[in-house]
Amino acid sequence: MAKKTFPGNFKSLEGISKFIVEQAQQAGFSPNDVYAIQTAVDEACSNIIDHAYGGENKGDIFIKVSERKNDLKIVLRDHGEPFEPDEVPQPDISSPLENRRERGLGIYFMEKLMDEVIFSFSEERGNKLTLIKNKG
Amino acid sequence: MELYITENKNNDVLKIIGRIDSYTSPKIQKVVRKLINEGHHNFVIDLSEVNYLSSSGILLFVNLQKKLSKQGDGKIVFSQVPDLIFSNIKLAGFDKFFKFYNDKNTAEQSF
Repeated sequence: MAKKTFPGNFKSLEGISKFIVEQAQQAGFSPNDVYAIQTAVDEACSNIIDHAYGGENKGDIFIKVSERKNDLKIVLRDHGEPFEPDEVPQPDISSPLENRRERGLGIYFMEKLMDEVIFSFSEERGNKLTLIKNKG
Repeated sequence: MELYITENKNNDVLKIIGRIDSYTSPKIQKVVRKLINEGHHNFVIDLSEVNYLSSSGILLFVNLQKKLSKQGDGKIVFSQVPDLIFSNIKLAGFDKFFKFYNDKNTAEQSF
């Protein structure tokens, strides 16, 4: 299990990616899966900064990565506003370019690239996002 | 992230090196918007040395293409897109809105 805390700003994204890529590679994932995990976590952290904290440098992002027998579990926590994934519209990827909307693509990526995506919130501990990628 | 611009007669080649994410996308946007405002309207985006492209990076190019389409017939094409990056562009459904070329010369000649 590995833990790391990053300041909630976009400059942190590169360091977060490095940390996640190392963990995913150590767990034996293929380059395709490593890139998928990197993308999901990067999108999640961008969303935390943009939506939970409502901007940069409002709080930290806490990351815990645990390799388990059959999967890799990544838990992201923040102390921002409660995140309501149901309020974010699903992107319509078949619509013409001029109608494509910007919101929701990050969550769409997370859901497509990971096996489980679980959002939860507690008054005491804030937002918790669990991302799971199965091995093999 | 590093950005190199080569201005040709009827297009500009933008070679980007490194990550295109929420941190670097606004910097690229600023540079390209300035070029568009100066009258440039055809762009080859060379992604051969990009190692990560986030949804904000994809949307950056989508929004620039929308701006170009509103103003006239300008367009953005991509050259040498790494497979992993292309798979995310495809996942987001944006592969059908852009042309992708395997080499820079063909991309430049496409205008």
